Amino acid sequence: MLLELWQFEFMRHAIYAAILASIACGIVGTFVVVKRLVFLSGGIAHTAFGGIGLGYYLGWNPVLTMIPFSMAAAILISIIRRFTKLSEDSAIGMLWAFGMALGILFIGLTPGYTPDLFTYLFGNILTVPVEDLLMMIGLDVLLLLLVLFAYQPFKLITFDEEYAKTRGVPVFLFNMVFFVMVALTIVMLVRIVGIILVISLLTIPASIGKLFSSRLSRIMILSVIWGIVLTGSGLIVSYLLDLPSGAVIILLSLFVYAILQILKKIISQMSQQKKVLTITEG
Amino acid sequence: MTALVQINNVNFSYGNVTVLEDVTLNIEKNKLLAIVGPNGGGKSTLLKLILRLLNPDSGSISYIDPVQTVADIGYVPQVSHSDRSFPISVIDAVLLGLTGTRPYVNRFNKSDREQATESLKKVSMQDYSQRQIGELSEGQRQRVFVARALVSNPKLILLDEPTASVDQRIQHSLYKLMAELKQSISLVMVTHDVGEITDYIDDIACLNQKLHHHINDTNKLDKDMSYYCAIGARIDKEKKGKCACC
Repeated sequence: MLLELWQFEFMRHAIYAAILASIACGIVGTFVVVKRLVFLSGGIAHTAFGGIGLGYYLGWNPVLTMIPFSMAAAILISIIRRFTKLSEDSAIGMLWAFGMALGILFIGLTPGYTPDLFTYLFGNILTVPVEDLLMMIGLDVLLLLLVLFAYQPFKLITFDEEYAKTRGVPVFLFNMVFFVMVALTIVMLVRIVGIILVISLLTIPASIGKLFSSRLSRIMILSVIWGIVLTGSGLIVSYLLDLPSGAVIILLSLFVYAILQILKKIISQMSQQKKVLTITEG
Repeated sequence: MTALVQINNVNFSYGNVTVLEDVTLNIEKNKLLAIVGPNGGGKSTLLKLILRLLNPDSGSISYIDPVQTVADIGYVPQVSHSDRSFPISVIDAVLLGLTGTRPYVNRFNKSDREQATESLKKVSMQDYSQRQIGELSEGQRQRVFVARALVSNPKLILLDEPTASVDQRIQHSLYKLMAELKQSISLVMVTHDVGEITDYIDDIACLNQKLHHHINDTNKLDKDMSYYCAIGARIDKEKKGKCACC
């Protein structure tokens, strides 16, 4: 049956998209989860909606107009963080609302019907075109190179930003580059789960990875693998049951996370009880 | 006496708020200097200036050979500011102290690991090298951060309230550790502690915008005045016996 699915071109594209997006999510998501940047990522994602609106208005591919929008949001947030005394989460909140409002305005200005708008909000992995796949490959290569060449400073900044500054690490620059990476990853994910649900793929696989390891590099690898498994199986389930793919992928991922978290708790309690038993017996 | 860092007539302000006024201070070789003073008196700002994270408005800070790069100045931040849940082992945390001493691309190799183990030995934490940072007590984590500062073989170490959140027994062992380290490097410590401190340190400077030393004419530490000064840093209402700066 799975082989049958593989016959369809759109299914092959969807599987490729799931794998490519999971690589980016595993790398970026691990930093997002460990550094607690979930709200910031949500802010960038929603600001990018302005770009989608602009795409509709100009009649361009909305994914392309999203790129400068989300990148500008990322750069702006890093500047606000570094050079102003504004509270970071208020600033993100305002940017979030600004992007959404702008998007709605542009869509309102666009004459006639706006097709596929729902796709950008909630995603549809079954409609990913080839040029989007190529863009994903490019971004994955960029991310892998970045992690390969600058893993140590990124790790240090994530762990202890103040200390990193005393070691002469250009923290502002690295943060800005990282936020831009978050922005580009979000652009990648929009096709798959949509703007509103983007945060799920940045957080769930990395949170599952964190259950199994306490080494940053291993958490990354594990979350890439879990990301592929979860998006892949969610995709198949959604196709077979004819349900919206984004929603199925997320609900399945959350379900798996909950099960694993409970199992971990039970196992650690059991091993603790064992310890107590051996001590009392001894 | 040989100075490693000379701070000359430094002024610094955040906007309209003057933080440091005409501060002059020599950090000398193989000495342990304590900086006490009330909250907001400019202690952390002074450390940031020495670490070159800030630039003075006027005055100068000169670094004298062998202090040349960031690797020559170790830094131990306040332990309570660190992220306990971060997934990192003790040895990896110490290795990160080498960041900035080589190109970012380079992975840590076997000799780096040996160096990190060596610094863990200096703080008696070598048995914990594979533990997670979150599994340690505050005092143990403080020691790991000292090891992280030591790993790049610095000539000078700056410690920001190293004993702020540890019990007295650990305080005592930290002071002893610093006295040992003093044999080979210089230490500057920002602190609120008073009790034992005067047995271990060579100089106390009280900082409240202006800086006041507590070394008397015979080049000995004025213990009583240091004590009052540090007490004053804790209890602002106590006016009796304070130094010129408090």
